This record gives sequence, C-alpha cells and structure tokens, in this order.
Amino acid sequence: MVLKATGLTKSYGANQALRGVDIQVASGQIHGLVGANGAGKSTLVKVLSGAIDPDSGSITLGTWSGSSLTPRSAHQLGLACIYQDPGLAPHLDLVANVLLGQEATRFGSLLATARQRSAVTEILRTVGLSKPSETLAGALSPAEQQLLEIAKALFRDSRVLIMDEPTAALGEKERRQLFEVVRGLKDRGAAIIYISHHMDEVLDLCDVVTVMRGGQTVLHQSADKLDVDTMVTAMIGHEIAARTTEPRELGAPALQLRGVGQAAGLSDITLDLSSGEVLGVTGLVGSGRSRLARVLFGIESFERGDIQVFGTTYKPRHPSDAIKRGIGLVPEDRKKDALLMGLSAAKNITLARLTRSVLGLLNLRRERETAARWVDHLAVVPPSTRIAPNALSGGNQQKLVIARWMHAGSRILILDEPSQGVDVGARDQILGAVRNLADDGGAILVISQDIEELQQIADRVLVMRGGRIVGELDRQHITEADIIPLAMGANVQSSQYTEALT
Amino acid sequence: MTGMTHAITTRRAELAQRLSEHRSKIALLLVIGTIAAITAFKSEVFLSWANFENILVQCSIIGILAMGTTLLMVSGGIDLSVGSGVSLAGVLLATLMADGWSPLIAVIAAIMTASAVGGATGFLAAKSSHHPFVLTLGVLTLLQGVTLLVSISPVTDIPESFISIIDWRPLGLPLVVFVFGVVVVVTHLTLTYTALGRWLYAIGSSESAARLSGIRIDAVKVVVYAISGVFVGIGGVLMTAQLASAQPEMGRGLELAAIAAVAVGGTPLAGGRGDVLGTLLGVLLLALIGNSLNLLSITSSWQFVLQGLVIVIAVLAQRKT
Repeated sequence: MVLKATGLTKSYGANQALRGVDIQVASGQIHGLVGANGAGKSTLVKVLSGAIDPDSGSITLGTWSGSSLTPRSAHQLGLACIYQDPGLAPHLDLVANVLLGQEATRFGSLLATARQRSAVTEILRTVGLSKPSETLAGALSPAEQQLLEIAKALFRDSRVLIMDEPTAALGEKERRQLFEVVRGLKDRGAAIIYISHHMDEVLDLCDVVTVMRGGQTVLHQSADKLDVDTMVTAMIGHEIAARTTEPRELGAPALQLRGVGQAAGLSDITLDLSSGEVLGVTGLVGSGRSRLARVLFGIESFERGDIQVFGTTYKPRHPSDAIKRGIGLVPEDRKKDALLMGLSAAKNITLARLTRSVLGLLNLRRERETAARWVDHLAVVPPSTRIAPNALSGGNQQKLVIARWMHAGSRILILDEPSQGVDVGARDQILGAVRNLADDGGAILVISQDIEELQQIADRVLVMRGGRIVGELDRQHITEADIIPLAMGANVQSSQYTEALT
Repeated sequence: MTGMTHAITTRRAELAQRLSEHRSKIALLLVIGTIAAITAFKSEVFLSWANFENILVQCSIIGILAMGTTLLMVSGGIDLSVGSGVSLAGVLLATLMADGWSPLIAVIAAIMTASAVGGATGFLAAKSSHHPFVLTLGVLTLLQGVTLLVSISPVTDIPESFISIIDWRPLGLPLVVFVFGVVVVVTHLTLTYTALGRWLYAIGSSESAARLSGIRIDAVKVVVYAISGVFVGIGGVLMTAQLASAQPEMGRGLELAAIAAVAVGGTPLAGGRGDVLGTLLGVLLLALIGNSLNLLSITSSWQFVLQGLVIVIAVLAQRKT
C-alpha cells in the first residue's frame, strides 16, 4: 500500500467531521471516493494532504509512518492534490508553470535550463497536452488546465495523486481525454484517489470505491462488484426523520411557469407556486437551480415559455420588471449582488423602495424610522440603522437583504442559499422570518442544496438536474434518500433503500 | 449580553463608523486652518474680505467642475473630458456671438451642447464594460479636435453686453461665486435628497447589487454625465466672460484640477462614498495654497510642489474601506 490511513478522527467544536476513517490505496490503482455533501470527503483530503492535523489515527505514506503530515512533508513524500480550480499562474507559459518553485537556479536567475525544458516537454506529452510549451496557462481550456496540474504533479515525482471533482467544469470529450490520462498514470504505477459526484464516472474509471457517510467510511468494494444504486444507498444511510409541522392552507396561484426554457441551460420548466407556500428547489451545482432564479428575476435572458405572476403574463427583461411585479431576490452572493457594503443599514434596507415625500425628494427621517422597524423586527445585531454591512456578521447582513424585500412589499420572494455563511442562531431567525412571510400570504421559492434547510421550511421540493425539473417531492419525502438519487440521476425508488438498509 | 451593554456597544460601533467617515474632513479642516493661520500671521491682507472673495473667484470654475466630478466619482465613474468640454463650450459660445447670435441663445446653446456631449459620454460609459478612464481620455482628445474645428484661433469679437455679466453681483457676490454656490447647493441636494443621488452611491458601491435592486444603471449613467455636462457648459460660459475671449486651450487641465479636489475631499476613485462638503474643502484647500504662497511672495513653482504634495498625502491618508 502506498497510502494507508487508519482510525482517522477530526472534530471542529461539536461537529465531528471524521469519526474513524480507514482507507488504503495501492499503487497502480484508481480509488474512487464518494459521499454526499458533508460526508467528510474534503476533511479527509485535507488530513491526507497535511493541510489539517487529525485528532487521532495514523497515516502511512510510502515508507513514512506517523500521526500527521504537513503540506510540505506530504509533498516531499510524493503526494499531490489537484483541485477543481487549478492554481496555475495564467501569465506564465506551460513550462514555467510546471517548473514553478522547482526552477534550477543558474547564475542566480530563475530561468529554465534547456534540460529542464525538454524534461517538461516530455511530461506534457505524457499527459496528452499537445499545445506548444510557450502557450500561456491562461489560454488553456479548463480540461487542459487540469492536465497541466497533473503534469506539475508528475514533474514533482508524485506517486499519490488526489483529484477532487476534476471533471466538474469539463465537457464530454474533455472528460474522456482526462480519463485516458488518468488511466495512463495508473499504468505507470501511480496511486490515485478520485473524488466525484458522478456515480457512473466513478464506476467507469475506478478500480476500488470507498463510500463515506457522516464522517465514516461505510463501504469499501471493488468497482466491478458495485452499481450506482448500491453506492447511493450507502451514501444516504438511514432516513432522517421527517418534519412534523402541519400542512397549511394555500392561497391563490402566485407564480406559474409553463415550459420555460433558455438555450444556456434551462429546458421545459413547469412549476406552480401559491401564496402561502414555501417551494424548495434543489439540485447539484450546474443543475440550473440558480439559473432559474436569475431568469425569473430578469438577470438572465428569458427565451421560451410562459410565466404568469398573479394571473397576468410576465416577461422579465430587467430586475426592475421583477420588482414591479412584487418579486424579490435574495441572491447567493450577498456581498456582491445585494449589499452596499459601505452604506448604512437604513440605505441598504430602503434601496428597492426609497422613502419619498411629496416632491419626490427622499425623506431621510422616515427612512431611518422605517429601517429601525425592520432592524427591530428581524432582530439585527447590533440594532442600528446607521451601521454599514461591512461591520455586520453574515447572518445580520442577510437580514438586511430580506428586510429590503419586506420593505419593498415583495409578495414573491426568491431566496438562493439563504443560510449560506450564516451562523446557526441567525439561520433559525432567518428561516423563521421566511416562514412567517409565507404564513402572511407570501409565496416563497427557496433554492438550496442544504437538505436540512429544505426540511426545515419547504412544503414541497423540486429537484433539478441538467436544467430540467426531474422530480417533485412532498413534505414527507424531503429526505436525502429521495433527493440524492433524483439529483444524481440514479433510477431507484426510495423504498429500495429502506429494504437495503433493513 | 444585557440590554444596557448592548446599547453601549451599538453606540460605540456607530460612533466608530461616523468618526472614520468624517476623519478625512477633520484632517482637511486642520490643514486648511494651519495654512490660514500661518498666512494670516505673516500677511495682514490675508484676513480681508477682498482676499477671501479673491480666493473664491479663483476656485469657482474648478469648483463647479468638481461638483459634476463628485457626482460621477460617487457612482464609480470619471470624466477626463470636462476640461476640453469647457474649451468647446467657450469657443462655441464666442463663435456664435461673434456670428451675431443673441448672448442668451448662445449661452443656452453652449450649455446644451456640453450637456449633450456629457450624455453621449455617459451612454458610451454605460455600454462599455471597462472603467471609463480610457474612454473619456478618448473623448478629451476628440473634443479638443472638435473645438479646433469650430475655431482654430482665439475668438475675441465678443459683445460688451455679454462681458458685462461678470460684473453682476447677485446677493452681493461676484457672479462666478454665486453660480458656484448654486451648483454646490444643487449638487448637495441631488446627492442627499434625491433618488438619483442614492442610486449613484448604490452604483458606486456595487453595480451588480444596484442592478438587482431594480436600478436602471445605463439610464442613471447617461443622466449623471449629462448633469456634469451642464456644469461643464456653465464653466465654459463663465470662463469666457472672465477672459472676455475664448480660445481652444482655455479649459486645458481643468479636469485634473477637479479630480484632484474631489479626491482630496475624500471621494475614492472606486466610488460608493464621498460628498459635497468634502469636495468643497478640497477645492478650498488647493486654492488656498496658491493664494497663501502668493501673499507670502513665494515663487509659483512651489505652488505646484505643495499642491502636488497635498494631493499625494490626502490620498495616502484616506481610509481603506
């Protein structure tokens, strides 16, 4: 075994990210690592690459054995990580990127020697990067950047490669090219840990698969004895208890979409959202969940289909169209897309509906009073209308954004990952405020990949994959067991999991 | 946390924020006070009303341009063409009057032209995805050329009825100072009490957040560059009256003086912050340096050195966030 870890544990405060992980990777083997979000994959990678120290457990890497690594020692022992977003220097050429930090110094200069150059060119050929070696890294496609990262690892004589979602940004053809290279590495005796959300990809490429769940390795099996359903079952584990709140009365239809589509990545979206309802939308990254919000709010082009808002046709062209129809958006990246970081809370809250007096001039006193009511209502801390968002925590920033739309009188509120980057206490307050909005007759669309969040507030959840809605789940079925197979494309009934687990 | 300590923490946070907002103004006032005190100590002329009026007259036209530039810079924009806009407005005005147009109509035509040029620049700035620095640098050169096409030589054939307006003293103030005062008030009201002003701050803070709050960014940009254009036109008219002539180079460099005053006044190039009071102090400080050195009989070469130093220090001293 080139890499062997036993009994790894790691906790962050009360949250136990790893609870006894065992993994063994042999040379000449591609080892798939799969698990739902939060299963502990990233923590494991960080421990193996020396970025964090485990609380207990032991690691063997090559001839070295011990309890924890540092990034430097992991590197020297021949371990390299390749991430989704390669850390390349875009303005340097291919050779310079591969050599970065390893240049032979000659006469004090850092220029590559002819010998190094030819060595690098040889490696570039091995990984199938056919571009001339003077090409700048910035000019490469995402797939080629991945290949360049692999070349860097090879040049450093890495015998263990950890690849984290390498195909996330790649098209089909590029994916195949990458697979060829990975198989080539395996034939040369490298040990590869391959992390992916795509089950079919893992089965296709890997020799052995380890499934993680809740910080543990729950399944270890050679790939030819596995199928997608077995892996997904292992990933999900036991069902989480369903939420117990009572179903509520729904009001009139607020938002109706019929066959809404867009060339860039939405097709045939049909959905109904009623007043008083909280509708969840979930899916993997790239499933189109955020794009749907952006189209509805007039940020991205609306191309096909029909949208009705409170029974009248709506063709979004600009966010101001959406706001006029009573739609608000709490975007995923609130610092960039919602907040005025240096301006007062009052100005942030009233931006979408300024407090104007008779002459059309701003009434600053009324602005402060109105804002103070929202600050109080949503329990913003510190309770001030003068403080700017850059002095507030993530949760309190989010409250300002929600207050903006409550103040604007939005009757349809779209929230994209509402509790991302929000601490636990504020999260409950925010989700509570959203829930209250629905109870007061608001129509809420919550886009989230946080299943717990959806369980907490959604009445219904739509699952998206590849720009389409692939499933609708009622309140009782907002569970990982129901969502994950739909989101990942496994064809299984949730009852099968229950059987498999009992 | 108890209610009491909570309230105190909130007050303290508010106070800290206000202090950092006004820090640059307090510093500017201190510098202005120091220079004034030194000059007053060495020269008895300095503290006379006549000298104060003199300072105001000298900084009025730059001040008017700086007000337009404040509006632009708060929204994260900039217009390097205001100086050559002044030349164009002045030369156009003088040429029209020399051709026998009535001064009133010629003044209106000059201001409207400058405003239209501003609006067009704003349209281009809105359509371009880059910072308007280079774009307006291009407009600067373009307007220089257009001005030379209108008249390649100075226009001096200007009716007395127009030149005499410079002697008007509304409210007892020299005309340029009076107009400057009106522009200051209008700019302050626009920034503080109108939706447009709020939108400018929003766009300067984050264009994306402004757009997602329903603000029509392109329209706002056209309007704000056009307003700045009106101020440019007014500057051209006043300068022509002051000089009793117009020449194609008359506005050269004014844009840099205006931008310097705005920057010294605490408006960052990135926008989202800034106000009229800051710019006003910036304009006064730069004018005061010139006046003081004059009164202290120090060579005018030092004026540039000192003004340059003030700009550099002021920008270095500004808060980051």
